[in-house]
Amino acid sequence: MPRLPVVSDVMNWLQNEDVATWLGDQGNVLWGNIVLPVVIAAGLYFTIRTGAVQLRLLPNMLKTLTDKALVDENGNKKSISAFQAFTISAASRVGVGNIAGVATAIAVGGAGAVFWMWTMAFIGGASSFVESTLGQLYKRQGKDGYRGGPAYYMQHGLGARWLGIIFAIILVVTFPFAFSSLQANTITATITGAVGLDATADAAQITTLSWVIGVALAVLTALVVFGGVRRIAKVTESLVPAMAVLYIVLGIVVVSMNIGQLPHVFGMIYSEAFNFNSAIGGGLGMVLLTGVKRGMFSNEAGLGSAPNAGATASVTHPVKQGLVQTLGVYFDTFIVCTVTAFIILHTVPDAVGSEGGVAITQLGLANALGSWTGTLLAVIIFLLAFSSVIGNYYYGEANIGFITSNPTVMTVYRLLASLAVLGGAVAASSVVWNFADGIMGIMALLNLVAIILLSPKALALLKHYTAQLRDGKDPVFLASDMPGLRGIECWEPSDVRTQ
Amino acid sequence: MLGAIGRAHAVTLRRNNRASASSPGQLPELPGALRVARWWWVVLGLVFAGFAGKLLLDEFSAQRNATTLLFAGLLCAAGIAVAFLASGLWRTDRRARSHLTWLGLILALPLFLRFGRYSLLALLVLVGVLLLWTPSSIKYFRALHRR
Repeated sequence: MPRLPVVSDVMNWLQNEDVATWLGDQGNVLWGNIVLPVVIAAGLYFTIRTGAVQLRLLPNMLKTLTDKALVDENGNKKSISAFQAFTISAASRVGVGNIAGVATAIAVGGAGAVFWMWTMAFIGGASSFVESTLGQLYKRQGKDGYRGGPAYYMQHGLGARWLGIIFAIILVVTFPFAFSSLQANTITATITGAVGLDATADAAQITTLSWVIGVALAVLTALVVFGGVRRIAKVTESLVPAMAVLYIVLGIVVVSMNIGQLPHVFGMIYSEAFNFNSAIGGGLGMVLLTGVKRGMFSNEAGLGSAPNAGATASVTHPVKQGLVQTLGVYFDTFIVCTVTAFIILHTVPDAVGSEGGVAITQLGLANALGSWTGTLLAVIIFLLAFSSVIGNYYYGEANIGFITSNPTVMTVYRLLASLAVLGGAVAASSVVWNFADGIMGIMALLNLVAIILLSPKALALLKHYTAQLRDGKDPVFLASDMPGLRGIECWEPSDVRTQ
Repeated sequence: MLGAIGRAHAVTLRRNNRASASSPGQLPELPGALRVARWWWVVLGLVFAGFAGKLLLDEFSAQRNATTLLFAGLLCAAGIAVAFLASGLWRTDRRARSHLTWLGLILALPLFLRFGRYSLLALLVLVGVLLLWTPSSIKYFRALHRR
């Protein structure tokens, strides 16, 4: 029986290089002309206005991790502690972006892209601080704890529910659909790479394998999101920190084995950040753009996703969660992304200009430690990526909940989120990456505009926090401390009770 | 416009609340579509398992191909899952409909898109999904949810 025409069209669209090129071109226009200037300007503005909070309060970021969990009137824990919030956000950040994303950045933008990733992590640290502080300030008390995020501060801080709804819709398209597709795509690429199939000779087998992996991933996702088997999500999430540590250890081993090359690698990163490498098309602008895009995909600074998770934590001052999330950005980029960059730059001399994202990292590890690392990397990526798929689903669920509580809408969303994983597994990686980049730019733009408008509140909170620090106190914020603030629901004495 | 969506949503919620408050809790008789769906899904489970068995037999008598074996394994797993979830329809499990719906759609899409010669099987799966969502089935499951 022939395939249905509409279904064949969808199939062709997902695997068409022309579609990938069109998406890439539109994304570059959006990023080059609008998103990139706004991301840099907002980051620099927040850095200046906060007095470089991301550097100045670095010791306090570490100290905040030791804060005890808050308790209710019966002495029971109200929510997760600051350290738990840090590990959860770090685990959700560490994923495909740190392994495949960095490889793609080096392939497209050269070693210099790594310098721009670092720079944007530092500048974006200030944006991350502001968005997560605002996420805490405007959080709401839900049935199972706190909830919040950009949609909430747009509604309650800016008084623009309509903007919150638009943001929530874009987040749903970005995270559970675009980013989850990307995670599934990378899992498929890693597994096909690990089993040693050749892209040209075994094309038919790779396609069949992609479908089989896609169906398996979609079924696993559906089992979790339809509420049947939450244990899968719990097991995956509990393994993620161990996988992240294992990956960092692998990277340290590779760097140690090639320690003599380290000065050369640093030299490449700094010199190529400003000097045009002939292997890269598009010049310095492309190096910068690639570094910023891949950096943002990985650390999510200013994107508007971290405040959704950060708002669920229970802390005594909103600034504390801002600091914890900034530390998360540093951990993600300066440690995990750097590990990937060093693995590749030490072991794959012709990575720049080559094709294939995660395959470059696989090749790097195989060159240094042997082919057995292909299977290990496949396991690590599977767990990191699948936990991100589940995390992305919950981001989407929270934002759908902001828009409507209609159960039919939620059922349709669950179904589409599962099918997005299937689609991502079988689509061409260029289509998926370019679509994700474009939609991520729109999401970041909306969030950055909102946090720029609300930044006076975050700055006032920072002043309140530092004043208490100067007096030698453990900072505590109550809504009554700033009576002029509107739209605040939490931050009563019962919300900041410590053990 | 978005304000209108919010108001419409509030009206829907109130209507749902009224409906659940006035429900007598009496489960209606099993509709014909669901009677058919019960058997339909059991047969589908067997068909999936049958296809898997045939593929495995063909493979063992010819040169072994890892991806075909994987595909056969997937069909076999699908058959077991469909049969297990179909048993939920017999036990009037409220979640059986949503589980069979997502599983049916996830299985039908690849059969259409990649494995063209299994398109008929995909169509049968989609008919099975539709049987779960006929007006009478929706009414039945709504009553089941209220109990």
